[in-house]
Parts: sequence; structure tokens; C-alpha cells
Amino acid sequence: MRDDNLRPMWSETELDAALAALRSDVDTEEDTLTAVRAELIAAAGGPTERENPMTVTIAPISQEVERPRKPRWGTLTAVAATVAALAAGAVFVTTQGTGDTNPAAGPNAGIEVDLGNGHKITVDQPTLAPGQYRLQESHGWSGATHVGADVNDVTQVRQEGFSDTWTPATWTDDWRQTYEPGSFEVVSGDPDVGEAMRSKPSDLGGKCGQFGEQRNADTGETIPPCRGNGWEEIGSPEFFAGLPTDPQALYEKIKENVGSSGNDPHVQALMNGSRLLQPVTPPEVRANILRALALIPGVEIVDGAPLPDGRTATALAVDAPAAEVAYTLFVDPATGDVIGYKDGPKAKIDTSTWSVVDEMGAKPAK
Amino acid sequence: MTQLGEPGAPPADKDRPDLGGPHPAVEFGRLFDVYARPLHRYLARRVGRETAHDLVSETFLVALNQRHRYDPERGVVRSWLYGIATNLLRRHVRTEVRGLHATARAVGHLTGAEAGHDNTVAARVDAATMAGQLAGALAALNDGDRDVLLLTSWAGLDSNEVAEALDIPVGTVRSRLHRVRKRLRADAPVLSTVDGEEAGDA
Repeated sequence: MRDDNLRPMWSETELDAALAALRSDVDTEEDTLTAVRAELIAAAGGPTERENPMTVTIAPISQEVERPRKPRWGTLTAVAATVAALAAGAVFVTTQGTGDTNPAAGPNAGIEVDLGNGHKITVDQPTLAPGQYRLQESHGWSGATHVGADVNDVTQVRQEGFSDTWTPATWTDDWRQTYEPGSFEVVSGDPDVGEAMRSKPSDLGGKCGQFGEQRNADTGETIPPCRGNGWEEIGSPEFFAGLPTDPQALYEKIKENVGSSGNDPHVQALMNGSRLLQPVTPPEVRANILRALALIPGVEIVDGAPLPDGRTATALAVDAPAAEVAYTLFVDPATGDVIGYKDGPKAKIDTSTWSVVDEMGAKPAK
Repeated sequence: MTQLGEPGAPPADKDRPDLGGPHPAVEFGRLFDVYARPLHRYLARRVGRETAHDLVSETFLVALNQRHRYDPERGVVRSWLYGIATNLLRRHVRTEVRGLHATARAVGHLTGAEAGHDNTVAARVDAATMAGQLAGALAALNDGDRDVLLLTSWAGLDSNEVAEALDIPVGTVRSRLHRVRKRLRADAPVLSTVDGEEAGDA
């Protein structure tokens, strides 16, 4: 039996002092952490494919293996919802489909938007008649990774996907989103594990652009559709009505939302701002959002930016090479629709098509 | 009017993000920026800078790929990350213990060589001696006790966070911490630095 009274014994303070002193001189090499961060961002679907398999564009696509349990952006409309289905890191291009010429869909008067330095576009959005839907047909590529019990056991796959989203005229009405996987490749690792990561078709309904369950991060409570908070409420008429009408003030609001996300603030501002450009975004608000995004420091605006399918768009791009992040938003200069985006300096550009149809599930004649 | 969101990141003891968003690069970029440096420092103190570098990388990669398993209701994201790191650290227990013994041995040499000089040197030697004695005592702890102590003292986690990280009851954390600290206060001062390098290895 030990008798502490007969032995020298440190006080609590002395113990804390010794703990504080022991190996207190370790330092952290910023260059090393920067490289680790870049690898992480690549793995999360930020940058794009590289020669090293560990940095191949990776993003969650297998809905059983990798799909996040609680989609944070569940109430976002077509663009974001499609991204949620197909994964971050993918790039979608939306094209103005023939359906927008549907005579039942009345056009708004076009709003001229001056983006500065001679770059001008028009916001011209269709007005849906009751019972009509805006359909976004998207095509994207994404990747996924799986780490086994041994962290060196890494399997990576690349998945092609097609997603269709029907957005109703009224935000709170029923929506629908379908997903169909395309070609699939196990990039590295265990073929059997990779095969299990293959995406599966899905057909989800919802309201307010929320497909699947959404839960409060703090309380864990399920958030009913159409009752989000903050960004999650994007899409509601109240949300858009509450946005500043002055482009500079709106930009400040977008910048404020960026907070300390850790991403390059200007890249993040473009990403966040682009999420406001939903199919249900009122035309005048859409015009202001585009004007606000043109105010982001360092944004490069390119007219006639080529898309993979041969069309051209007005591109708004912010590049942060030091952080190895970049974001490019492709806008149809005739309508103001988001017709694509590129998330990462080397990301592929994916495509999709906008149209107006007369019933949910319908597609325009090709 | 709907607010666009919080302008800044929450403090670590309230940071319970939803990691299920469609843009994991954004959220994990934030997590890395907030937590990677202190995590690296914590791990470097335990197993050295180079191994810590690998462990930080592995921790965030595992976190990314297991993000659907993170439940904000069960704990803050910091404790989740340190829990992953602690599991990964298990493979390096031998390295850690060997390093602690090396530290204790080095301090023993320093003490013998420099003790008895002026007061400044003596004070430095005293501090170094205590650190060396502590290193030897830490090496003798079992892995779980060492985790609780160092997650608290070096990583700065509170008892609830340590409990979340190690997936043990918070009461166990507190009692274990009390017991370990008492043992160290008693054992470290009388420890003759090196008592067998491999003692306590996993």
C-alpha cells in the first residue's frame, strides 16, 4: 500500500506545469498542412482529377454507401437538389430546352442586366401556367471513395448520372426528382467494394425542393418541408422578398453568409450566390443576384464561354489557385438561367436541359 | 425576414455541423481550417510531427468518408474528429511510448550535465526534469488513461467531449482523470527517468 504522505508529491499546479512543458515546442509546418488540406478538398470533390488516385475527384454518389444522411440543402431547388443526388464536385450545365417555347408558358418581359465592362445578359424567365412544371434534365459525373477498416484500404469509383427535376409553379406544391446512373468505373481499390458503391436509380417526391428527410443539426428534429431556416429556406417567396434589392447590399449579404467557411471567401461567395439562382427565383431577384455576383472581387466574366455540348454561355468565374479552388457559373445570356457550373479548377463540365412541361414526369419531345 | 445565416463559425464546444450537405468540400474545408492545426499539434506532441502529419490526413479522410455517421446530437464535431484520431493513434502506441522513454532519458542526461549552474539554468533544468519525469510516468500509463489525460490537457477537450471522443460515459472520464492525475502527482516526482524502454508498449 502506498503512503502518499511519505513521498514527494506534485501539486496539481506542478502537474499541469509539467504537462504544459512536455513537448510544448512542437510546431506545425504550414506547407505540410496546406498540402493535406488540398488533398482533403480534392477528396471532398473540390478540385478535379489528378494523376494520383488519392486525389481523383471524389464525391458521394452511391446513395447507399456514401450519400449523406441529412442533406443540408434539402430545400434547394433543381440545381442544388441535383447536385445532392449526383454529388458535389460534379458540374452541371443547364440548357434552355425547346419546352420553354411551350405556348402555355408565358414569358416575362426580359430584364437587361449589366454585369459591367460591357458584359450584358437578359433575364427572361417563363411564367408557368397552373399544372405546368419546369423540368431540368441534368447530366453529371461524380466520384466516390470508401475507406475500409484499414485506412489504407481505399476504393474509388467514378459514376455518370442523369437527373431530372420537375419544379412546380408554386414552391409548396409537389416536386419530383429522378436519378438514373450511367457508366461506372472503379478507379482504384477493391472491385467488389467499388461495385457496392455503384449508384442506384431513384425517384423521389417532395415539396419545396426538399427530397428526403431534413433534420435540425442542433436538435435532431425533423424539419418539415417548406419550413427550413436560413439558407435552407431558399426558394420560398418570403426568402426572395427579404433579399436586398440593391446589388451591392445583396453582395454584402452573400459575403456575410460566407462567414468563416474556410474556403476562399470569393469562391465561396460565388458558390453561395449561385445557389440563390433557383428555378423559382423571381426574374427581378435573379437579375439582382447576377449583378451582385458580378461585384465579387476577382470575378472574371467571359462572354461566349464554350460548353461541352457546343453551346456558349456567359461565365462568371473566381479562381483561387493558392487554395486550389475555383468556381465557374455558366449563365444563359438570353434567359439568365444557370446553365452550368464548374466546381474546381479542373472539374468536368456536365450538362442538363431546361424545359417547361404540362405534367410531372413528362418530358419534351426531342 | 429570413436571415442568411451566421456570419462566423460556432465555437468548438457548440460546433455541430450537418455534414450531409451536397458540398462536402466546403464544410470539410472549414473543419480543416478550424481543427487541423490544433489536432496536428496534439498528435505531434504524442507521436512526433511526421506521424502526426499522416494522422491528420487520415483523420480528415476517414471523417469525410464516414461523415454520414456523424450525429450532431451525440457530440460536437471536434470530439468526433479527436475520436477518429485517437483510434488511428492506436497503431502508434509503441512509437509514442518509445518516444516518451527517449524524452525521459534525454532529460536525465540534461539534468546530470547542467544542474548546479545559475538560477536560470537551474529553473530550466527543473522544468525539464519535471517534464522528463512526467514523460516516464506517462509511458507507464495504460492507453486509455493516457488518452483521457492528454485529450484533456493537451487537446483541451472537456470531460463531455472526451467522453464523446472515446465513447465512454462522462462519469468514467472524470473518475479516470482524477485517478490518473493523482497517480502522476505521486509517481512522477520519484521516477528515475528510464525504466525499460519497451515498458507499456502495445
